[in-house]
Amino acid sequence: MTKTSAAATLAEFELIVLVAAMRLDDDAHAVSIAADISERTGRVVRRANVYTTLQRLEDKGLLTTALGDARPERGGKPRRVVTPTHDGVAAVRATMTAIRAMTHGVKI
Amino acid sequence: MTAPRWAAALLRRLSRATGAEADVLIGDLEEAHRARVARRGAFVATLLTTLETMDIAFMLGRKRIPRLAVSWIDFKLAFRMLLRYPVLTLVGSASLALAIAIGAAAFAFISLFLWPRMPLPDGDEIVLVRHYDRAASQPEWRVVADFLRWRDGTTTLTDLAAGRGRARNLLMGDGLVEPISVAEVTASTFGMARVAPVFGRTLTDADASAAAPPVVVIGERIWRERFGADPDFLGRTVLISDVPTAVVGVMPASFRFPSIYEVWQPLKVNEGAVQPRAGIGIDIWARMKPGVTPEQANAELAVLSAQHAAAWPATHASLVADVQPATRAEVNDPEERTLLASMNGVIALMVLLVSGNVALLMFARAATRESEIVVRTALGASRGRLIGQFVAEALVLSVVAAIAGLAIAQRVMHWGLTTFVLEANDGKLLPFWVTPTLPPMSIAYGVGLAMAATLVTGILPAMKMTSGVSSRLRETTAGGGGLRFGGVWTVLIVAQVAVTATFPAIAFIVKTSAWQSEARQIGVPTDRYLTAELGRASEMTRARFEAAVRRVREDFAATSGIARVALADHLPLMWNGHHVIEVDPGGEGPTDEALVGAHFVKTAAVEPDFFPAFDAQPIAGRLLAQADNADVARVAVVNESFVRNVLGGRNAIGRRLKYRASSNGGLRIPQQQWIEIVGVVRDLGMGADPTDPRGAGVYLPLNLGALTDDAVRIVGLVAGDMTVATNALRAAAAKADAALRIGDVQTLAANTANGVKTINYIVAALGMVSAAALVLALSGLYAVMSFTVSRRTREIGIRVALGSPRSRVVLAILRRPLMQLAFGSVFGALLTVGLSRLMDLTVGFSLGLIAVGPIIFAVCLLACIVPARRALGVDPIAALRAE
Repeated sequence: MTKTSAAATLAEFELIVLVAAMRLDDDAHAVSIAADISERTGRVVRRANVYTTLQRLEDKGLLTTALGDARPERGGKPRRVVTPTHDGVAAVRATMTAIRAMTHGVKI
Repeated sequence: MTAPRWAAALLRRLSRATGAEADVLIGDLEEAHRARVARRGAFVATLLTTLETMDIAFMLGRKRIPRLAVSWIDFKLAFRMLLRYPVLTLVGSASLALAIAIGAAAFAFISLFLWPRMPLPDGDEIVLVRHYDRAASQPEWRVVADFLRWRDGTTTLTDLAAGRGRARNLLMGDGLVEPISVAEVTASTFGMARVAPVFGRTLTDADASAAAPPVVVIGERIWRERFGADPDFLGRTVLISDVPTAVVGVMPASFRFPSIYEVWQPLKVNEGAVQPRAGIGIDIWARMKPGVTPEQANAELAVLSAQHAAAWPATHASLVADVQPATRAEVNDPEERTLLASMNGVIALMVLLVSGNVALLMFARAATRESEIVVRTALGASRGRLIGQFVAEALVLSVVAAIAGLAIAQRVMHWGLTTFVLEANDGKLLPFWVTPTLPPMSIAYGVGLAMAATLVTGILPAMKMTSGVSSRLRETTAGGGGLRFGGVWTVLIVAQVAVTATFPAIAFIVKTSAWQSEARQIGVPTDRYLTAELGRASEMTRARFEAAVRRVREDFAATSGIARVALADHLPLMWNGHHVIEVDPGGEGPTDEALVGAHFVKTAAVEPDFFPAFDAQPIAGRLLAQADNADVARVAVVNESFVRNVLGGRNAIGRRLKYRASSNGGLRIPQQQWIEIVGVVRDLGMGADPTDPRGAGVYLPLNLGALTDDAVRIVGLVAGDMTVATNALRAAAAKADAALRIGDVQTLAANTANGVKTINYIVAALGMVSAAALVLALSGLYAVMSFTVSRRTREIGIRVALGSPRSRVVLAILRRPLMQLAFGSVFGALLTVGLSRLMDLTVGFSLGLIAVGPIIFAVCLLACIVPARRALGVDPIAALRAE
């Protein structure tokens, strides 16, 4: 049996948001994350939930945000770019490990 | 396609984001919207963006509202704080209690008059079943035949009962006659009401048979007051309109079904001879069976109505039946109902105003604890924790206030209804569903008001106190600033002063018109004139009525100590409607604006003895004589106002007038027929309202056979004891004809005072509200002043130390409250004028009214004196050292 690491584990939506941010890399911000989740999971994503989840993850130190460039498709407004921290990546890994451990051998 | 601008504004406003944070949110909004437009089109995208904006704004905004954290320690602390500041606790809880009392009592009053409920077991099931004539647009009461068919045919209703009200005379062994209202009802009425008698039995079906001896069931009040609560009274005989009737039972005092009745007799109907839509008029009541809704009952009645229409096409083609609540709302006019219901809103606003005021007090006190709050924040107390403490204090205050307020409301309710019956309703009973008990809904309303007060008095000061604590910490350590009263508080105080000035002013205006009525003199001692109304019972012929009235008049005049007896359809100073007349083209005064070539006058039909009875001598011409009596009036005497207003001061004798409109009560007026003026008398108080410019009066000869409302008034000057005279008059009426109805036996002064009584009732209520408003305004101002002084101690100390004159120091402190007082007074004056217009009151520029403003101003200034004295007492050295 694999032992999980000491890193924090994530709630389901936190996990999805963090993974989306990792995938989108430099393009990761609230709108693109919501769109990515929506596209891949097929579920309706409330952007309000994305904001609060990003805030919570930032408070936990699992990601950092920084203001990006102003863009014309955003009416000249900047975006807040999201970057997962090492702890964030570790948390994703730990959560995934836990899920794999729990689902191993279970017919789903 | 850019996102809607208002969406960006909404997002910025509700999310409370600022700077770069707001830019990011709006940028995201724009980006998401453009992507959505590309995918789904502009319309759908705008719709979705709108919803999303609201979602985000509320979610982000909500996050910033601190979560309350209240523990039992907060309540313990709250009690200690309230005990530590007893004056504030007393003023605050008394203010809230008063406001809650007024709110709950007013809600109860309004509910009783607008949404009455039948106070019987399962009273909501009881309905009134009614026939309505669509063609004539009026209810049809001749429904005995329908009652019999409905009773046998309905499946949704049960316990069908019927009845009608009758005016009767009750004659006891003491020889005194008393007019009473009798309900003639079917025996099923008592089963439907589900109320058992206190003694004896209720009516039975056998009592209603034609051969059955007359029986009566009486109410407990009559049993106690007229029978002396005699336990052996059952079977005793009383005379009800001359018919010996046996008393068989007593109903509880709280039962006056269907509305105000305390005497019940069987409704005798010959079922074999009943014709459709004929015979007597009756009301029909029933209970809806359990689980049946009014809609289901109506649906069934519609079917039964159709069957009736088919069976009796000649009479029932236009009739439809429906069920209604059995209670009758006292106010039925939709506009009046809306106005009355909206009073709740006004009163709730007043409670909010009061709460705001108490919040002001709490805030003023909290300001003294600023350093405590700053320290607690620095030690890690969350904003929610601090707010929780304030809310706990407010909750304790509100709970105390709610208990006291509801107790006061119960007393107010009892006092209000008793006073209303005695003062404003001429002693007449109110329907039995109007009870002086605070209904559960009112209690719930009072508790709701208390909770709202908690939020206002707790959260408002708490939010203000705990906002920007860290910046205040910097400011206060740097020696400046601190807390200040903001615009909300100023508005609150100005509103309070305005309301405070308005209530006494309105009360004063109303009272002034009452004084004018009270002070009105007609040259005779009105308290020595005994009056009564003599009414014709339905079973009396006109000739019998006339003979009875003449006998009463003769017997009363023959009583020792009685002089100058006269009959008239309207007596001086009593309410009297107006008529429209024309005068012959011999010159006249300016006519009423509303009528071209015509005038409003008041008319009274009087005996020739009427004028001597009131010491009225002819100013010109002659008075009425017996010879003037005719089937149709041909001559008239007019008063001085008539000569002045209608004839422009010209000679009246020989001039002619004719009536345009028919009678509105009293004598049947001959229309379109010239009547000659034969004399002029002084004004004898024609009509009850002295301010009515239409006081011009015409006296016509009284013809008892031509009365339209079957009632005439008798008046006599009493030299001796009024009680003896009253009993003599009642005995004379009983002796003349047992069926003759006699009512309103009272002095002319008491009779005319009834209108004034209603006004006095309103004035008393307004006076109470005024006093409450004044106390509240004073406490509010006191709080502001105390706060100002406590915040400016250091400044005052420096000013005094630098040799500033005391007057200047006081002025500096008083400037703000003085401005608030001035603004409040101005708004109060405007509000008074506006409300007076709305209430149709004439605002006269009397000294008294003008004095209201300065008086309020002066009283409010008193609230500033104590804090101002405290300010002047500040020792400069101590003030500087303290900082």
